[in-house]
Amino acid sequence: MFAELDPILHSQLRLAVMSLLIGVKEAEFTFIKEKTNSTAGNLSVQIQKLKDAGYIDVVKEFKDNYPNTTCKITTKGIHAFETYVQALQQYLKVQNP
Amino acid sequence: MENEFSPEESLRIIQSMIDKTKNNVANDAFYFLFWGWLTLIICITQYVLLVWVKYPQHYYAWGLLWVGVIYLVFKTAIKNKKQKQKVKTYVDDSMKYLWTGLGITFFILGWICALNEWKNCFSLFIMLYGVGTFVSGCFLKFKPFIIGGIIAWVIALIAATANYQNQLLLTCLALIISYIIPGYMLRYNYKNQNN
Repeated sequence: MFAELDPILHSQLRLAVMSLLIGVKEAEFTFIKEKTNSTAGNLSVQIQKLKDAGYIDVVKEFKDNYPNTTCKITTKGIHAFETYVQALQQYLKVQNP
Repeated sequence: MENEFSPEESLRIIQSMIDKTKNNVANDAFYFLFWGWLTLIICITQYVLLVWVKYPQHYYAWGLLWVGVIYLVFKTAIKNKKQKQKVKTYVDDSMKYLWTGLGITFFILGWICALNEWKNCFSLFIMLYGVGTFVSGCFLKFKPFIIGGIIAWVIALIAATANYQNQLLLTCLALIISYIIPGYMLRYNYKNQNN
């Protein structure tokens, strides 16, 4: 039987955000928005979902009087991402044996 | 439906996002070229003052190093003001810690040599250039720096048997092989990848 694909990660924008964060120490909201070509509104919603799942930490602060949001993947998020990739590999093995 | 996408599509998203976070090596190439050229100019100036001009205070050439430090401090301050760093990578952090540590070591070593003698100082400096470029090459997964670092260590061994003025020439050679050539290769690779 296949491992179930994590529904939190199996969404294009949330997966893109997690894939960006897996390779860096931390990234600002504007950086994620630029790299994922998403709208601020949609990205905010998806980031909130990842935060609620405990996959990322979100720090909101003020820098030079401007709001600044920084995101960082958590240990739980790294584990979930690795499990998701392993499940994907299982699917692909079956499709291309 | 946002969940209606294939495993292949998932992998494509993961791959494309990971590619977008690859380290900004153009910046690293600048630092290698800046310090490589500056130190090379200083070594050549000192060699000319020592061998041809026969100026007793030939080591004053190293004062130019402070010009480089001041230039970089201003450049970094202006850059930070203009554009905030939007992403922090582990490679950026590791490079920062490595070169800060090495920078401090260079100055302490210079001070120790100034208090004692300069006889073998250049072989020690070349050895440290080797450490910096070898480890940076491993962080950046860029072979020319790794090879440059190893060659710098070999040059350090040769320099230990050379006289002071030949040590200066060997330092120039080490800088060209371990900083300047790999620095240009890194910049060329970065430009090619982005075209």
